[in-house]
Amino acid sequence: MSWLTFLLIAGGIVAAGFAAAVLLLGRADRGALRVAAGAVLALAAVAVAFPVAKTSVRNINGVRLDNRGTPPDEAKEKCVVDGGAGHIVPLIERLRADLPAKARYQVIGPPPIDAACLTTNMLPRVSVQAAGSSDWLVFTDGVPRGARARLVPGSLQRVTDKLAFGQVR
Amino acid sequence: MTVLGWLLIHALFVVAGGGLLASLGLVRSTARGALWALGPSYLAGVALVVLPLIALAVAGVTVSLATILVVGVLEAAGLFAFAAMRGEPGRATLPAVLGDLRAERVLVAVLAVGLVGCLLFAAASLTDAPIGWDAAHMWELKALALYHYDGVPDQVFTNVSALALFHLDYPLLQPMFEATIYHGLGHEAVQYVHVELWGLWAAALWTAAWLLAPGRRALTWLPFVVAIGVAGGAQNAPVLGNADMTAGLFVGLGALALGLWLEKRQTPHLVLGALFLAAGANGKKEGLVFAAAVALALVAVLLGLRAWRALGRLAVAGAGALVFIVPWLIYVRANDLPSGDTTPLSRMFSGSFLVDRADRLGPSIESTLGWLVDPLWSYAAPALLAAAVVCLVVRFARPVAVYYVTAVTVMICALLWMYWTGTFADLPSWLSVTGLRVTGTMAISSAFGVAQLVSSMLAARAAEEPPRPPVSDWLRVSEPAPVGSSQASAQRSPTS
Repeated sequence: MSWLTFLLIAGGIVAAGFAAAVLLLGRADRGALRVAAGAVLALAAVAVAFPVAKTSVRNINGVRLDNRGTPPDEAKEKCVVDGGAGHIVPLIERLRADLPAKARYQVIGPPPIDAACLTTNMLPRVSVQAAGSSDWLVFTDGVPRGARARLVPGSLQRVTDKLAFGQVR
Repeated sequence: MTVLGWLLIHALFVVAGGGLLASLGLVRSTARGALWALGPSYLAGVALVVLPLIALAVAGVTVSLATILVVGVLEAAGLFAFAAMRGEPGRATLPAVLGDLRAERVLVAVLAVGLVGCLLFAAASLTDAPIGWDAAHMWELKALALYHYDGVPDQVFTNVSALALFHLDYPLLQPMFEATIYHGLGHEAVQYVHVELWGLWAAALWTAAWLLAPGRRALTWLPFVVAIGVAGGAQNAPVLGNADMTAGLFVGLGALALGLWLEKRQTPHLVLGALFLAAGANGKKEGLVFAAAVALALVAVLLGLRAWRALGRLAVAGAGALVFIVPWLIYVRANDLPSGDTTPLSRMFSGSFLVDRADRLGPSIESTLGWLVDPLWSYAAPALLAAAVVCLVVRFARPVAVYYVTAVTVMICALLWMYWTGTFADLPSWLSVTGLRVTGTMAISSAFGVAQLVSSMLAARAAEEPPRPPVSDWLRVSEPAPVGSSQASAQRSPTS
């Protein structure tokens, strides 16, 4: 019944303004009601501000304590972990370290995480879908036999049994 | 270099925005006047620099640090040259009125210091915050792409096959703002940018105070600015890196500036209102809808007043705002970027689509109004309704009251329409995820609206009533201002 709460709060303020006009100013004409209601609203805002500020400070302090010392890379990787693909974080970190800026890579295998989260973590390196336009191949479910031939010899880097990457010839 | 770059980019915003305020006659030519205008200058500068950059980027122009500097410097130079030719500052530069009672000044000081303290503590708490889910999939993604590729690379912005689910059609104000900051710093700073987003909110509160202060007693408007400034709901988007507050604060300020224009009919308020609404419309898709709601409410009130000349001026300002809004819309259309969660109009009005989904309205109303009466938004919306009812009953400032209530009501209706017709099947989840943040614009506009109405209601008293009896010595902080002095005249409301 939020609409009722809404109307009751608004009605309560108007009623308080009317009461203040009658009781404090001794009249309920337009001028008195306007001044009394304005004063009631201003006082109500002051009264609301203090407890609201207390709650806000407590909440934002919780944010501070929860995230204290989080490094920037980890801040980016939150979507990877929240998306249930925490196991590929080591791969992403290796790719960011080893792939040059603006390198184009193609993901071979099931996408471990959605494209937006992966792109945010990998920029300025960008993903491409066409086989011929990539500089690097990223393997998410082992290295297929045929793919090895496309790589520069010795460039294949294994991060785990299934996660690897290599430079295209 | 990082510190130097930070100073450079922020100085650029301040100088560009300051040029606009000076050309509008809104800056008193004293050190104090310039300092007081710092916050509004920064915020106006953000809008003034970032909006053209969006237009340039979608037109295919490289948006590098050099481009940013050229745009900012050209704007500042042109506007300051215009200000120099213009000469005297306008009427909107009346000094603020602190009040002549000691208790009043003490309370004003407590509120102001408390607000600044809260804002600084929150800023310090955000330095290590991670990127939230939505930010990683939309806002930060676009910001990093804009920064690293000096524009809108196709691999991200038109990559429909891979990124269609992630609102490619969302506008670019926040990503471009973040990219501009990164250009200044010389590197990406995905955690620090939370502080910058919070800084926009702080600047918005400063701007609201600066707009409301001239000629009004501080205690008649400051409590409302403080109440919304410390509201917990305002922290949500900057903590996560979302754009809801960025859009909401600009739409709220646009509503306030246009509300002041409706009251005083001073052109500077109209210009600022149009600029802020254009920025809000570029903040988020909801920002576009909410900005349209404000414009619609203003047009309706002016039509009701048969104020044809004002409507003409509003049309000119609206056309100016559209220049900044249209480029992104053209880009979305030209690249056929899909809208993630809205249903096409053709489907909405075919068959029994609306009737079949009527059961979504009840929970949507419950959720939306529920957030508006939550302490997280400081009860600003019901307070606006109460202030408007009083204004209507006592026949005071009725056009302004009707304008604010109509604007917020249209925003609520537009939001309900989105929930009713949106493609998201799991409505309860959708409401719980979006409810707090999308009601922010309504709460902010309401708070600023109440501040304007109440300060007018209480200011009118000073002009109508006979001089008050002398204040007791122990309450007085200074000698009474002589009749006709700037302070005495400043206390007279322009509405009276």
